[in-house]
Amino acid sequence: MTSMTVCRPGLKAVPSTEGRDALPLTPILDSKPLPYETTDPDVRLMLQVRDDNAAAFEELVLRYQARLITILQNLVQDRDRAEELAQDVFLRVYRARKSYLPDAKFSTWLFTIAHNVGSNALRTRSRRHEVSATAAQGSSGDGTSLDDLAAAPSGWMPARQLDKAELAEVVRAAVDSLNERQRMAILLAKFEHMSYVDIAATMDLSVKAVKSLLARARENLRVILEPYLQEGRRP
Amino acid sequence: MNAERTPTDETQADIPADLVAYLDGELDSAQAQAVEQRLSSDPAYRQQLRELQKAWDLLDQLPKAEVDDTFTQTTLAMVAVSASDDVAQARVRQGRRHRWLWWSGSAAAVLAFVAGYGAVSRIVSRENRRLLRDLPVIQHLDEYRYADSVEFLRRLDREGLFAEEEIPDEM
Repeated sequence: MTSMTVCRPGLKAVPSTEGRDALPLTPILDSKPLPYETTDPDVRLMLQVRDDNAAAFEELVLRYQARLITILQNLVQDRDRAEELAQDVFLRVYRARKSYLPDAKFSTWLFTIAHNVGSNALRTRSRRHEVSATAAQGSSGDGTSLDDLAAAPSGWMPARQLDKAELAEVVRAAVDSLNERQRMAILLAKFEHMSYVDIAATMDLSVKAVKSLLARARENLRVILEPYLQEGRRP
Repeated sequence: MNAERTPTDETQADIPADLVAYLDGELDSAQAQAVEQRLSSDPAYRQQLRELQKAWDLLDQLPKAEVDDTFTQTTLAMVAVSASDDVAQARVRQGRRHRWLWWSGSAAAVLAFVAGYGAVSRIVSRENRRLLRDLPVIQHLDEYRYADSVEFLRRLDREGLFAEEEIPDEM
């Protein structure tokens, strides 16, 4: 029976090899990586989709739709838009089925498409905002940005326990203040538990760049959320 | 929000990359040991670790999507429509290719017919031209039988006996 062990805080749990006495121990340097269709059941499903198996595609949609929408929703901060983008991602997956090659984990391939789709959506939205900002000069925002919350005089918001919705709003605004790449890297690490190697493959970056990107992102979040870290109280 | 609370990529000098990688379990054992040694001797470093971890834990407040059947069915229907559109487009492309093949085949057949007709008619007209050129000889063949020699006929020709019956070459 396989048990999970955690060596130190924050470390990813890895399966223990205790109880696997019957398995032969082979030197790591001599072993070749197993093909992804052997190790990743979703790759096998995608290969069936490549062969026009509709049921396999439905299974992939069922497995990934919530995960995909979660990432996209927190990336673009809009649930309806996230659903549209997720459908766009699945459509691209289907259209790319004939040229699919199992040279990575399926999730890495899927979230690479999602990253491209999400980035394009943010760029489009940014351009629209540039146009609309000119027209809407002088109008006030919705008052929910982190800047507004942080800039409010302490007399307006006396120190008190934040309720769940308020805390969620503060965290959402904090994540929204990160740039697009930092946000994507944070979301992949947090929700998909991706390793730096997988994030690098998904975002087409080096592992070193991912390490730096995540460090900057988490330090930014730490600084921004510092006032809220003490038992969820406002400063 | 003041500037100190929002460090940017450009202004942030001390990025705790190893500390974050340590929390993410991405350091090898030697690097992790170095971080742990510093943690044991540096209270500020320990505080930074705690705050990084707490900020990370706060991300649990972010919304996680729950998806109903409607989204699934809509997505599958959209993909099915797209697939049928692809099939329709493929049929249109196939039809275009068939039409193109038919027209190009027809054009090739017409060209081959024209070229063949031209070649045959050229060969036939060459024979006709030779017959026309030899027509005066043919017309006087009976008289020529009475001539004694070719030299006699050439002398008659030089004297202009056959001049009015000469056939131009371009005929």
